[in-house]
Amino acid sequence: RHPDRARPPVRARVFEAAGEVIQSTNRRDVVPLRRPTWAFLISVLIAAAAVAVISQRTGVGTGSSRDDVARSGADAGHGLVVVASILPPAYTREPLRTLENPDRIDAIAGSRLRLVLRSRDAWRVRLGHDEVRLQRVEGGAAGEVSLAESGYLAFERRESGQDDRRLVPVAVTPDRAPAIRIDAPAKDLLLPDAKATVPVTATATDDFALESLDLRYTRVSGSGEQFEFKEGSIPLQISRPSDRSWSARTRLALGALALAPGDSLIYRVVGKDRRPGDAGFASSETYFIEVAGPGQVALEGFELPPDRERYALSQQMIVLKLERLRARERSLARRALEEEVANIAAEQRAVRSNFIFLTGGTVEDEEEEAAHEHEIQEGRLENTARREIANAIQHMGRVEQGLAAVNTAAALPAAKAAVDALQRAFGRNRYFLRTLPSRSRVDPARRLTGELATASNWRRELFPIQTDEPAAAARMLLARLLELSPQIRSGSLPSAATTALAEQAIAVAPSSVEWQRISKGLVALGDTPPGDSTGRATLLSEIVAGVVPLTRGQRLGSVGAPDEERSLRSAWEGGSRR
Amino acid sequence: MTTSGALPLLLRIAAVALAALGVIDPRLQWSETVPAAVDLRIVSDHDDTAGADAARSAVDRLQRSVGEKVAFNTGAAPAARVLVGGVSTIDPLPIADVSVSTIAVGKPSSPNVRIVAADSPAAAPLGWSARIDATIEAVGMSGRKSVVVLEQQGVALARTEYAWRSDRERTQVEMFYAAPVTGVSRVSLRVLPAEGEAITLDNKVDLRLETVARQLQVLVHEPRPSWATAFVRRALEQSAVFDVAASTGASRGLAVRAGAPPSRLTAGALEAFDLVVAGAPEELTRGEVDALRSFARVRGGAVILVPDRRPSGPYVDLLPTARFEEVLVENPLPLRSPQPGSVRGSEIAIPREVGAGRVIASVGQKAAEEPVIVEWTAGAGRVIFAGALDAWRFRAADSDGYARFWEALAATASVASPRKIEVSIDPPIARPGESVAVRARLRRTELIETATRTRTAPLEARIMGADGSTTPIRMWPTADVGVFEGRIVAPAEGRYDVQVASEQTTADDVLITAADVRHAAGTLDSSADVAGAIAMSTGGVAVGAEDLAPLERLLASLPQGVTTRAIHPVRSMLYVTAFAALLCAEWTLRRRRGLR
Repeated sequence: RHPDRARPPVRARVFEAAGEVIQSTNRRDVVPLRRPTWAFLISVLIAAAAVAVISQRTGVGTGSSRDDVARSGADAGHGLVVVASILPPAYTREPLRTLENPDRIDAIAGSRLRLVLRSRDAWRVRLGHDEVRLQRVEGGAAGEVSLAESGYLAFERRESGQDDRRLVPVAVTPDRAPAIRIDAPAKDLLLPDAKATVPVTATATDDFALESLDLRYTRVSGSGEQFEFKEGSIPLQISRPSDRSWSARTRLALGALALAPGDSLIYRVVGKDRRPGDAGFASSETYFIEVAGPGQVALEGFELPPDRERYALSQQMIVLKLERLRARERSLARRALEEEVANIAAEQRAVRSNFIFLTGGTVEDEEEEAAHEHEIQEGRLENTARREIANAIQHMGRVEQGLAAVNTAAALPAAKAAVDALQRAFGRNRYFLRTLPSRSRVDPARRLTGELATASNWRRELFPIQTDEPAAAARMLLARLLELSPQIRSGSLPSAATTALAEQAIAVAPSSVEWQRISKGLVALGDTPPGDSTGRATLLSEIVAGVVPLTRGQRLGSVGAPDEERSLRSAWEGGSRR
Repeated sequence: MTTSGALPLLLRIAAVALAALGVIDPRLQWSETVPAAVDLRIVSDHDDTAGADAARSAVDRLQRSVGEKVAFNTGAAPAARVLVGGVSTIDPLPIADVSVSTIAVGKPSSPNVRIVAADSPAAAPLGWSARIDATIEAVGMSGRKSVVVLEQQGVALARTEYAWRSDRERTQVEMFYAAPVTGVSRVSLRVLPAEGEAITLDNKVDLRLETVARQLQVLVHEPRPSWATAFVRRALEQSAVFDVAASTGASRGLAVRAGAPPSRLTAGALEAFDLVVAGAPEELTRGEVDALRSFARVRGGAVILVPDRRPSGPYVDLLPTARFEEVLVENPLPLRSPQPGSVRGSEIAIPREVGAGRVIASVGQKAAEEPVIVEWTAGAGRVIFAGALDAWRFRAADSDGYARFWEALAATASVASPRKIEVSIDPPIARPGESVAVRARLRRTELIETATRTRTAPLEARIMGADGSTTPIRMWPTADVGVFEGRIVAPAEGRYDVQVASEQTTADDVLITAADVRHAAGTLDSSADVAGAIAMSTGGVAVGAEDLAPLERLLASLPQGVTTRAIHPVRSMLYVTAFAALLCAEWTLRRRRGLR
């Protein structure tokens, strides 16, 4: 322990003996490393194999953008790698996005979706019910499709004896039209004369980029039975803080617009985003400036009744729009034509609904009408030529029928006939379709001038009730799940059946998160091993819990059948009163 | 003849007599006493091994103490029954033809949650949720939560939670579920077992859920145009469950009609409707009011009166009160109601007497709550008065709450209006062999009433299996006029159509039978109460396993049984021996005398 304390000969003797012993000793026997080394190597091999197996099952670690797609994504351990490249429309100036094995795809309407499938097997791809054409490329197949509306991608193995289908929801967000708002004066004005200048400011925003902004007006002038509509536009001074948000200002010089007493100016700010064609066109609310007529008392800038339903749309304007549309109808693509016709049809419906309401029927939006009940009553007294209005309503119905068939030739004569009928009904009165301004001019001369003999019963048309399709689909799915629940729990239901249900579910509302979750759950149900009955039961419960709220069952109230005690008490009290 | 000479003769005569008897082989009745027969059953929760052991121990002690006086489970008709173990878990209870005594084993009865009562809900239209009400009770669960689940085929459809606040508590739970298809289905209401729960067999109840495709027939009648009714009508017209006919008096002799309203409001014309919504009711004529009264009382329909001004005129006679207070407030008040949806009003007619009526919606807080929408029973039907005169003005206040309120109120009132024949089955889900009552209620409009008697058309009822087998059901009139009842024994597991037909109409209902059906535990407070009730009602005793003395005394006091049986004495060996002995004696005497 302390060699320096020993005597030198003893020390030398000890060292000599130790050296002899060491020299005769095998170093491998002193520190055996072979077994630990083998154990270490075997452990490393086992660990590596385990990691490889796990990563193959779950897909973890095979790519940075790879989500957990084992159950719902395109891979799911089926030897398929999907690379989805989404190219947004050029006008959006958004970059290309590439996803590998996505479990959902979000895109803007009009985007191009390029799919590259890498697999040793042949796969078929559908976007909803439409097959995506695939071409052979190096290492797999590729296809491209344009995304117009939400749907789902179905990847199906071609040569599989069993159903091998993966679903990926595709949520397509339409490009929103610009939101344009007039900030000032933001109200209707009744001015004493046409000398004033009205400053107008507006703001516009868009989800990608704005392209233009413009103030358009319609000057309404005339008297008697005919009115003249003249349209024009006024340039705006535009400030562009960004592509997505603009502000604009201008001044409406009424004198320069040649307005006369009693005339009106209807104006709005219109804008457009960068979409090609008329698709990105939008308009602000429409406001009125009315120049007081002879005998009409108006304070400076008097605000017209704040009526949320500013029915600045008259039947005459519908005629005008129809005539313009007919003039350029041939140059329009079918889709664009349908869209424009649909817009006019919507306006026609609004006009018709309001006239129906004025005659005591039903209207589309009654909220504001009901708030002005007394005005409506007043209006009923005023409008004695109800039969003409009824005729006009019938003509408007024909306009709607013509527009529904995208037949402007049929719609235009009916629209003109409706104008004629309305002009006969209202005579001098203008009929912008607001509920009735508070300063409605009642013409006592027209009171009690109707023909009593022509009064008759009337049959009100009942509108067909729209079915809640998603709720009906949810009910069907729930019924099917309950019917199949014993087989689902036992694992005897083929995965093809659950995948088919998953496809039905995603087809109901591809962009809905709830339906996506249900579809994903059904795919996962199909992937759950038959032996895992607990896992299948849990998944089934989760799916059903998601489906039940979508059935949107309305609740019955608490009024029940008359029970005997209440009946007896009621009868007793009735008898007592007698 | 000497005595010694007469004896062989006598012996011979006796032997001949015995031989003659042997030929005749007479049959005699023989009575003897036997121990009283007792039917003894051990019932326990399947999970409770300790309880089962305790029950067996109690039985052993009982058999040792009274085993000589009574005989257990002999198969003979029992003089008494003894139930050992968890009495509240016995389902079904044995037939109480003799006294039933109970032995409670020492298992603690808490913590425990049980479903005390749960009724199968009324049929709901497709797309509408049925309301399932249940009473659940907990013992020893204070501070813990229970989860109530509505299931179908083991799949959870709806769930609700309740946090218990005291050690012994009873509460009502309500659940809503819209069955996805029309028809009858079996669902289960289950309270998920709490950790360490004493008894779990009382946590589940089977219920029947019926969804009908029936469209509810509604008439909206307005003698004059009324905003209050117009928006109610519009709410109903937008719902697919209603088939709305409407008539609005636009002027004298002129009406705006939609659907197929009757030309005049008469009792006969209203029969086809389930519900009449009467707007501007102060304009109703006396005849129209009488028609509405008949519609409610005789037809069993529902009348909703929707005034827009202070009640006046003949229609007030439909209501139990003619006194109303009109309240005007500056800002609209929200009405408090358990109904779905919401209603507000700033001009309100408050009925001063509600009496037997049921308040559907009210204003104000608890202390000063005033009824606004009230339902009164009228004969077989009901009359509902809606005193929110200007609620239509605020119909957009709570995102369509106004429309939802009226849809729900109208649907509930309409569904409760009876069809011509209403068939009900009790219990609607039964075990094979269980007694099931089939009840048919004829609507009063289907009765032929004269001054002295009421007659009905002949009624036929039958039960049909899925295989087409048909069994007639004998229906007997009950104390209620127009109500007939028949009893059947629930057949083998399956679904059966129970059909009741009269001359003009047929109605049916579905009976589901299954071996594993569970009914609600009942309203008795605890297992001990159940045991006590059973014992008291049958003349038995309820004892604990630790003290069997009262039961031993009862069993010991049971009269011993008497068994009477027929015997044939000549067939016994004794008889043959006696006959042989006589012959031998006679032969011996003769030989002694030297005779042959």
